[in-house]
Amino acid sequence: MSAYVTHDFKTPRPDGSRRLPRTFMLVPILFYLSLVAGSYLSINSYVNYRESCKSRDNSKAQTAEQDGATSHIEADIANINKEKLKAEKLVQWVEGTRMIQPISVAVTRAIPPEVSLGEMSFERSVDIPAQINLSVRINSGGMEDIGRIQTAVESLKYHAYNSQQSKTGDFLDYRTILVWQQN
Amino acid sequence: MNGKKIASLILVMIIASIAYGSQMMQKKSSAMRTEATQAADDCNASADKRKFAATKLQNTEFNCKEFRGFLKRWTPVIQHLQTGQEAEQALMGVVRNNGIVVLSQKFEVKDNRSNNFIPKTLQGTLIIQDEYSKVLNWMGELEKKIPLVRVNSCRIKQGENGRQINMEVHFEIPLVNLEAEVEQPKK
Repeated sequence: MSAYVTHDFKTPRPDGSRRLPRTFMLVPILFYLSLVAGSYLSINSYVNYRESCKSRDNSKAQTAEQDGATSHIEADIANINKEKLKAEKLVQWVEGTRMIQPISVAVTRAIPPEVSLGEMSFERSVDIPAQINLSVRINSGGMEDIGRIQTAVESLKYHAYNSQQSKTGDFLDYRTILVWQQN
Repeated sequence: MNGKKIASLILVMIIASIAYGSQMMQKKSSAMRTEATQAADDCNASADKRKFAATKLQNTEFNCKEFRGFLKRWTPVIQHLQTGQEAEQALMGVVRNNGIVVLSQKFEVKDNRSNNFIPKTLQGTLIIQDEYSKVLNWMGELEKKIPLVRVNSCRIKQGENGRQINMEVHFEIPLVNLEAEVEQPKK
């Protein structure tokens, strides 16, 4: 045995690296810590992400449903308004279709037998069809007959406006505008 | 640099990448949470809009109830008179039923371009000569059986003999298009 081997069991390792400083011992500890903390945070974030994603999709689906329902309601409103416009047009027409026959009967009945009715005409106003221009020609009649005609017409809820009378010989012409009174 | 230092450096890099990955994940989660909150707000706004629209619908229905009822009541009458031929037939039916003497008759379908709802009307003129009661009964029946008829003018005068009267009637029967798109009148 050589003296070298006897006195030192450790073989000299000239190629071995030097020890790392003590602070570098924290690196593996930090590694494990970061592994645990990173996993926890990542899992937590992922769960939150999934939940948020689900919540967003639900909200979006609900929004789409609500928007669809709103569009449907708006379409209903538009249809109702269209129906209303049509009804208004119809009302305008119907206002001008008020019966003339009862007026002619009432006027004829209002004139006494001794007075003869020469001519009677009804002209509906072009601009306001609800108004009727009435003209009556009576033979050997007087103002009292005109009064009777007016009373008869008013009993049918018509009001006589702008009445005019003119007498030519035995004939008495009476012209008036009849306006329907709602109340 | 020896092997231990390189190993430590690799570990530090792994730590840094774990931290970066976690941070990215958290950012993504946070962004998604914001998106979800925004979507929930949009959903609430949408629900409010729907409620508002539903209230508006209720109000509109209430306000238009009478008009819609009116249109509904008149719809069968309108559907009965869709063409000039139908209107003419209805009119002649009334004439035949009463057996009155018609001296002259003229019918014509006129276009009404300014009104989509009533695009056409049957305009007619009838000259009738018969007994007073018969003629007035006929006119009453005409206005009752064809309630949409608008008598534009009516002249009554003495007929050929004392019992007869002569009546000249100008009238219009609308041919309503219920499917028409009616526009809001311009103010």
